[in-house]
Amino acid sequence: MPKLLFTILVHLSAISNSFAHEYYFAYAEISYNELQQKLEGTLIFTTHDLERSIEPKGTLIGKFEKLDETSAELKRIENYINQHFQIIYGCALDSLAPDVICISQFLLEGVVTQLNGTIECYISAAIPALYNPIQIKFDALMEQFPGQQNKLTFIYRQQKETLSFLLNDSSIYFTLKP
Amino acid sequence: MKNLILAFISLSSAGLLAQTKFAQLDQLLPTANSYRTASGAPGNAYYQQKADYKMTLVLDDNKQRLDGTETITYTNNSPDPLAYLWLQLDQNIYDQNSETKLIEVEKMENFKSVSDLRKRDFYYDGGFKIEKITNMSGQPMQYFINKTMMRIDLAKPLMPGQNISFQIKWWYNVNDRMLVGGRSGYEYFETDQNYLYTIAQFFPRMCVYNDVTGWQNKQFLGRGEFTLPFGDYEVSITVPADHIVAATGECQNYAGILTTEQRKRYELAKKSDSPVVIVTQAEAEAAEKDKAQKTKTWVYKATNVRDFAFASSRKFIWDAQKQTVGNKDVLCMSYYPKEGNPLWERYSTKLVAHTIKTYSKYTVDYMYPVAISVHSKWIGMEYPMICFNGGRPEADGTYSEGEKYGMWGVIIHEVGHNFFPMIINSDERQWTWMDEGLNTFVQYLTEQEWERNYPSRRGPAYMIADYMRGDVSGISPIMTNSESIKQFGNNAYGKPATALNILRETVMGRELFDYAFKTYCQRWALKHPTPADFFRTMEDASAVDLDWFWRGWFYTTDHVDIALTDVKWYELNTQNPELEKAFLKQKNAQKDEFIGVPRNVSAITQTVNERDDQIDDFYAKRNIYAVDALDRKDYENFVAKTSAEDLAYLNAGKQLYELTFENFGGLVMPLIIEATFADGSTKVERIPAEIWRIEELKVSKVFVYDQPVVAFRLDPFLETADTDLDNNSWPRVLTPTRYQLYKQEQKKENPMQRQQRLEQLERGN
Repeated sequence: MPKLLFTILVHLSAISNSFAHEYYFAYAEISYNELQQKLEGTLIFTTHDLERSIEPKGTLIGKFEKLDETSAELKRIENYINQHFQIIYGCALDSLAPDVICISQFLLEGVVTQLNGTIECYISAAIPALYNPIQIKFDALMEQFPGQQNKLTFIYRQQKETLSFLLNDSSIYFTLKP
Repeated sequence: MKNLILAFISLSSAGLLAQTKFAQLDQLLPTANSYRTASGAPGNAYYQQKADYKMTLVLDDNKQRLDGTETITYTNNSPDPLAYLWLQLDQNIYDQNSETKLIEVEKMENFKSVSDLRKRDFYYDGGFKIEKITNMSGQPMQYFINKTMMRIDLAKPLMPGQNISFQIKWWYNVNDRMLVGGRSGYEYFETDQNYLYTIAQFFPRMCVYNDVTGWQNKQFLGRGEFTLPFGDYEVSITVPADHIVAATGECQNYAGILTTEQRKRYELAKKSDSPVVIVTQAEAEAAEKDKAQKTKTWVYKATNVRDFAFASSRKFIWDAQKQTVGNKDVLCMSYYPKEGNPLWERYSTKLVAHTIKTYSKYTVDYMYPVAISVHSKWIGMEYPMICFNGGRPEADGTYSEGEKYGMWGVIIHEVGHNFFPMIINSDERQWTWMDEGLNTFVQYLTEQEWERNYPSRRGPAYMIADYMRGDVSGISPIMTNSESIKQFGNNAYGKPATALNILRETVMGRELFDYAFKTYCQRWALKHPTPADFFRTMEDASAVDLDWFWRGWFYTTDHVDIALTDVKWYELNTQNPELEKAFLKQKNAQKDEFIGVPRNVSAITQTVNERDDQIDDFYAKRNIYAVDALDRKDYENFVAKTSAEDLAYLNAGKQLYELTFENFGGLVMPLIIEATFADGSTKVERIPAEIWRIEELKVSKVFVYDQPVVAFRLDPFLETADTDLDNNSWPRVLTPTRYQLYKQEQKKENPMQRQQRLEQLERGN
């Protein structure tokens, strides 16, 4: 069996604080706006889980409730979303090149924290063409919370489909129905 | 929509699908017997064991070590002789050989840093050190430790009605809760170099033996909590002299512990309806600096409780007030370090009092003398009369609104656990939902009585829809063993709380539900209920067959997605030829016309029959919409044979609508339909879930109104947890996505800019 090298970070805090709770969930609701050729949607996280996942040392805990439009943390949230919520899709505008695929690059348009402890992140991504096959990766928060389960409701031409993502199954192939 | 003449009424024959969703639970529930009846009440042979404890504890603040000697008197009220006894050794999950870490599923991706790996491999010398177990003559008893369970072998069987006393001497190193986690342990405050101990599951505790499980000796793996027999406790706790102790039960020796001034405050608090500070922040801060080396012993007694826990620290501020429940006063208390302020001094004790009062209304009167909330960073954990709760403001004393609600919620929830499972003592090791789910439900009721429109995290039906919809491979039925639940929080807390809310608001109604729920609580207070006892009692006390509800909501992962798929519109045929032929003529005139017809009118100047009057015969010349004498005679005959009431009904202009509903999600639910009429008024129809009892996938229902309906809407009050609202309306109305709502509400200007614009407008600029 070949040995694999596994690179990890060394300079995090000595031993990160234990942080245990039982509320592991995140939901996404994404629709394709054919007029504007955009994917638009909302990701909903438990606020402190997202803070913990973006900064495992815990220094962001409590910060996201105080975000405003100028907060530097917004860029960190956007980067995190783009790392952990990806839509990989057929995007060939030329029918002679059917195998071209693209990866979504979401823009974080805004966030709203709710008093029930969740944060809603509003995102969009310009997608001039959206074709099958589509692969969706949604592993947000799973690295910190192995019990995490994420759900995505994808809306395309008024049809809804809900997909579940688990630690061992965080990337799913999905077929658009005409 | 189709506007049709209904010439006669026909009844569609019902299909003959096999009954599944409404099948009774008989095969799923245990057979009723003399211990537990089919009505859900304890039977005439119901019994439960008793375990009384006398303990002497010493907390070493220098070594963070707890030493204890306990004498257990165990009474066998069962009809069975017991050859051995089983005790729980929860601390052994911190033993080096514990299986708790071994059974964690891991992937390399879980370890992003050296610290992650170090944390994984972190070890401290935890677990019980059992020094000796002896009978009351001092003779060693034979025992065997199997991880978190310990069997004591008896020299001779403990016969029904007999009791046995024995003594255990033990110690363990208290875990650093901030480092290794856990429901109890200590927190070290580096700034003043003091410890705050929240101590629980700290002594060998008797397992439950009963008619359901025999010995409930399933290993403690960390998630499925506890099952414990009731008993009486006498506990002396020796701690540093400047520590303040909070514990299950009533302290017996405040006179020797508190200062004269503190005792006066304590007496004042017992009569006060608002919090009175017994140990002030100044006194706590002075103790933080002095660090006494002497010790004091606090003595507690607690009667008919299932466990004992305590907290100890020189950092504690302490306040209290009374709350009257029934005909007695409960002393509600909070213990917190200065780091908990200003939140804790303002809210904690008031929340405790409100929770005790509100839960007593919906369940049973709180039956213990005290209820305590102890500040404990991050966690929320419950024990009889005492719980450990998070909610810590920033170092500068500020806190966000979310932190405030988080603290409120956790205190209400954990204090609420005094009822589930401390009083209504279900088996947590087997069924998490029986305490967490029922408690979260009453927590919701309690929150709503604390503040109007309290932003409860769980309870309202629509809040569970995201969890329940779609692929169900990642979720479990509620009726799943505590250790095997996927999505623990939603499964064991949120879904059962939502289900009970739906029963209360929609299926049973508040009056029936509240009576049945209270009956369950009264029947099983200070006893050991099972799911079947709950299911059966709710039906027994209400005369509502809920088997379909338990089956769908508790035994499956189906979700609610009921769609309004078709609407047909009818009017009654009055048989009056003047009206009906005119109506038919009007309908014919309104028919769509093929494009060739008008073009032919202009292109063909004259047809043959228009030129030749010999072409048109009877058929061509007759006017089918003309009313003749025969029509009138027929109608006269019809009128003669029809009662005046029927004629009046036929001529009342009734509008009939046949609505078709399809069940896409699997869960059957009542149909709540709102009709909106042409004049803007509305009417709500409530159809019980039993409409699905024969046809489980597709049903139809006819509604009769006096005026036309312009819109129908299913589940207009969001009370059924329907996961797709887009198929609930006629004409179809798409529910805006959260993103669309956000964009609609997104303002380009802040409220002050808007105010400036408004002022400009009013000035006429």
